[in-house]
Amino acid sequence: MSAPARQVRARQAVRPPARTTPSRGRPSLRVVPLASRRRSVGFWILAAALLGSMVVGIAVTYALTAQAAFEMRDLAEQRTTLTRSNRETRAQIAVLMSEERIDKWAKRSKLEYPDSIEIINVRDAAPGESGSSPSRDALTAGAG
Amino acid sequence: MRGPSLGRLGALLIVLAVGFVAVTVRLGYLQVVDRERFESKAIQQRVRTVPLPAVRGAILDRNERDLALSLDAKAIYADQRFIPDPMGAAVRMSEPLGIKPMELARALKGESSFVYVARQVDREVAEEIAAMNIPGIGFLEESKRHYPAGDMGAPQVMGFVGIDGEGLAGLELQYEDVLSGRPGERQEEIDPAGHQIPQGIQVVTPPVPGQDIISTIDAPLQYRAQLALAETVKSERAKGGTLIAMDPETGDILAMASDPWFDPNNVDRAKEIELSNPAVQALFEPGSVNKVITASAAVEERAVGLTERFRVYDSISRDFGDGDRVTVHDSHPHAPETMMLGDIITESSNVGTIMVAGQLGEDEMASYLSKFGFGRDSGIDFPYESGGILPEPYQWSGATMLNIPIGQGVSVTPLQMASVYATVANDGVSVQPRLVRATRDPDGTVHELAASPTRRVVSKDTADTVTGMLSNVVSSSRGTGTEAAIEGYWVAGKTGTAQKPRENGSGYSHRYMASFIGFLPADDPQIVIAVILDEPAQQYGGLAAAPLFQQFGKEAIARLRIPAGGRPDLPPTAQR
Repeated sequence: MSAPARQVRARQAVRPPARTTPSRGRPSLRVVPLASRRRSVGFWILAAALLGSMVVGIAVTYALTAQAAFEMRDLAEQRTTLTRSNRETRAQIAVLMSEERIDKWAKRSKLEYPDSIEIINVRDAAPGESGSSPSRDALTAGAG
Repeated sequence: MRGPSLGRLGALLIVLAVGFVAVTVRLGYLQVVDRERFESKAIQQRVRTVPLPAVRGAILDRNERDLALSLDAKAIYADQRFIPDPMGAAVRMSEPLGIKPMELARALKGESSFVYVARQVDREVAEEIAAMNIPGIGFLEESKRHYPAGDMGAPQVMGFVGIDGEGLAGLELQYEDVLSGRPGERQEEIDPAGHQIPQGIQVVTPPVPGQDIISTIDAPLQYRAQLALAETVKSERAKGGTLIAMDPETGDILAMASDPWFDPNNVDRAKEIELSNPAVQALFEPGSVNKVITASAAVEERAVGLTERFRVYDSISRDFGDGDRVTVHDSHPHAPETMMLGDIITESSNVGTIMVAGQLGEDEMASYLSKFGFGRDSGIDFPYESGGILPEPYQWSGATMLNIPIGQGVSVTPLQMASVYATVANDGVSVQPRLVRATRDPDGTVHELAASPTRRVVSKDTADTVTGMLSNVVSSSRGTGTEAAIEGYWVAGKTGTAQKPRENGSGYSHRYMASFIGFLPADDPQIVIAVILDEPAQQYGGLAAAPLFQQFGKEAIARLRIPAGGRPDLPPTAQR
């Protein structure tokens, strides 16, 4: 099973040694000039700048999104609070306007309903005939 | 050194390939076939759904004053597993919650992860409890129904809601679909600590708030009705009473009160009998107020001439053989009198009314009772309305024509009886009564409901003639309803004093329902008022109920600015 490996090794062994002297007419090897290294540094700076700006951009977007989300939540909470407050105020108004409460205050102030109430309907009064009021109804309390 | 053989490498490759394929297949299965299940599991772990309850619409009076509205409240619950000292926690929470410590401790002890401690707790109280930082105690948002006018805000009409805010009675139940709205929800992505991830999933389905309903009830008039009714029930030592005020032209119920009533803010403390609405659901035999139907039918069918004279005794008997004899008396003994139809109604003669009904005939009598709405629902927008009991004509016995024309042997609701008078007041046209006139969107847009259906029952001439008779009841010195008179106004109405049937069904007791139903001003009716008292000390409608009609009538005149009308056409009488 190990014969082929040996054959490979044998073939490598017979390979002629690499020539160390340059062949005639071919330019001699020289040191790589610094300019290409400079181009490589520029590339890395550009890449870093792009990457950096992307990271900063993402971070800023993240922060703005988070901020907007928080603001949205605050606004939603504010709306809820205001709605709640509106309903509580409505309830308070309704309680304050309740007849029972007003009646108690009126009784405490010794106010009473008149014994007799008559509403007189002023029909088809000409303008200016009975004052300038456009109202068709006039309240006369205590008549009779 | 010898390397691995090609066969072993191949086997390894196959094993790896099979493994790779298995992993790929499994991955595909998880990612494609079983994707939804795992996705939902993952979402369940990191997405929280917060229910957003819909705000229940308010119930308003006809001038858009709040009669019922929902306020934010909290439900307090306990995760019993995390409460280290249940008794200590119960003692701390008992005072603000107003619950006995032992009772609270029962809710806090145990191994349950969710037990309600208190429902519909005011926010201030909930905040006080939250400040105690008791482990295992949590809070949920909910709403609490509030009735600002308390027990004086038409509680039986408003009805009430259950602990979860669903309508259980009255308008709250009738308009449940309109008032309840549609709940929403908020889905939000949370981190393992339970905090919301700002840029995570956030899907909000906003709740749709319920619509407000604008009732026909006039809050100040309702208060006056309840106050006046309660005073009369007390002074008359009555078992109870009902007062209905109605606009005859539109069918709008302006006030509807029944004593005893309940406080809708404390329904738990109400007695069962207080929770119903007798004005719409309770039956009574109307007695003499029913004579308006007999008179209307007789006039409409020309069964009796307005100047036709009747010789009226103080009792009338019918013999049905086998010793079966039925006798009906007038309310007081009197010598035989000559009466016209107008006198019969003015003096509320039972005998005279039976004689008129005799000329009218059974079929016509039955027909007009039905036309006036007896024996079926009035159609008012209120749940569990009773249609009353009107025996079918084939069930009528010989004695029926001695009973029904004078309002015995037939059962109606106070509303049905008020509707009869509203029909006469509205020129003979019956208008279906209603309790709600419009709905209002959360943005304030008002949608008026269609006008109530109408149907003609008697002609305008008949209605005018009967109105004249009813005016005589109040204005004539011989009338039974003089206590209902209001100075400066022509009032039309009729008294009723009905014997209550015995509870075992064997005839009538000596207990009475007293009533007065009428309208004003007689020539241009603006309001119909029905007053019914259950077993008042003064048994007669003219003595017990008519004064309440007068008192409330005056208040209605002031409140609704009802102008004094003209004199109606009074019918001929034999007594003048």
